[in-house]
Amino acid sequence: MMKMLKKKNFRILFMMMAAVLIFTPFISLLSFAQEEGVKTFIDQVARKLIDTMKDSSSSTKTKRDKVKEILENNFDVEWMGRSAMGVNYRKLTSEQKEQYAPLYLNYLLNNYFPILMKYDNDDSYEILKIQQIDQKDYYVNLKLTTKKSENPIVIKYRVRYIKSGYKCLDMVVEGISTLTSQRAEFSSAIHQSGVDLFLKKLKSQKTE
Amino acid sequence: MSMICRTLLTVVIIVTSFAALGESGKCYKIYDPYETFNRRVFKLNRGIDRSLARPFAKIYSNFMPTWGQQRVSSFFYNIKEPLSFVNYVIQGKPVEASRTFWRFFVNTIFGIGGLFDFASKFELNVPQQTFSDTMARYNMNYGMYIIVPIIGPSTTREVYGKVVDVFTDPASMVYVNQFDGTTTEYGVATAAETRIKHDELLDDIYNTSIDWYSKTRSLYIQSLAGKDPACAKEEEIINYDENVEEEKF
Repeated sequence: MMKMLKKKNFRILFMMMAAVLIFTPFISLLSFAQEEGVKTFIDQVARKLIDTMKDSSSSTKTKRDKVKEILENNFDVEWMGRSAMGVNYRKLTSEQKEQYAPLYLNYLLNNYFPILMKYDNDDSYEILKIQQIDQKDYYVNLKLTTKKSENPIVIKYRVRYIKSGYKCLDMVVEGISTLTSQRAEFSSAIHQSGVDLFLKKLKSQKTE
Repeated sequence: MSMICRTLLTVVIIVTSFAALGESGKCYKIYDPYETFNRRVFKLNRGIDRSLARPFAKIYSNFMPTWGQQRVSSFFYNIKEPLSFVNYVIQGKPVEASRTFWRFFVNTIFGIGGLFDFASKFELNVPQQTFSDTMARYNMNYGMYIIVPIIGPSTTREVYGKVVDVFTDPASMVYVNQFDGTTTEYGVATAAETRIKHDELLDDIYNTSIDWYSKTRSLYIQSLAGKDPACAKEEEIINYDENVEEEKF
């Protein structure tokens, strides 16, 4: 009886080891494929933005519209807007939520576009490494070498795969997260003056 | 140092000592118990900045070519290396201390007093440290967020750090002798250089924010936490999905 049990245990152990040996390369291959997908996604987004800014024939308005399109297609703006609002999002009425979404996109654009406008043709970027944070999210570390700054700037893009493909959720520049800053700013502004005045302030931001 | 300066310094140390005894902020957690007062000082600082510091920074950036700006920036960066060396020694980091020493040596001798950064070409790169970083290394929290008149955003730990830095900075000691007992010129020069370096950044923050005070505060606390090795893990565990209603993933 003992002999039978031992034999059975050995079989189970053997099967488990075989399974590990068979599936491990597939798992690492899958992980590699995911990392490559994330890398390609960020590379494409960066290229699109650079091409837009490099285009000397386009006016500032056209460039801004193109950047807006890139943001809408490659950033999960809706999720970012909700996350930036934090707990306050639940307090919004459905009407306020509807009003908030386009205003947030405009706010995001107002934050990104002036930085992109400083892009110089001699500036270059290099994707350094991909870091898996958890089951859903990745950090893509990008090194930006600019003419203005003597030291390269390290930017970390937080990327997540959702139904519609890869989407960027946050941008961490030299350790400073855009989303964390927005959360702090929005929560303080709402605490100081209430939701209505906050939305009014968002609305009063320049659109160009 | 004049009697007024000594008295002011003593007052600052006593006030901040008491303040630091209370609850304190750590890593990304914002602790700003005197927000109303801070907002007033922030507003006052903004007025001073708009009328004095900013026009000066604008003139400088318009007339001085980028090459020249980089030389000035390199010079002031190099001048702070001895202070960084002292802090690495206190932190018990001999490798970084030795790299800082050689960086200073190379840039001072071959970089014409620090005008050129040759050390980076030999990969002698090491972030600069202040006494505040040293305190962070020994797990001292940043205390509370404060706005110092004229100087701007700071924390109690940073204020302590700055005071110690003034007395331990070998560069300021050299200047004390040179300018016959005053560090004002050195202080003004480094402050002006810092303001110029951050001119565009300040403009961007101001032009794009809904609440300038809280945005600046968040950026400041995040940059402090980013330099603190004890906070590295906390950054990774920020829950981005927290409070996002109607989870769609």
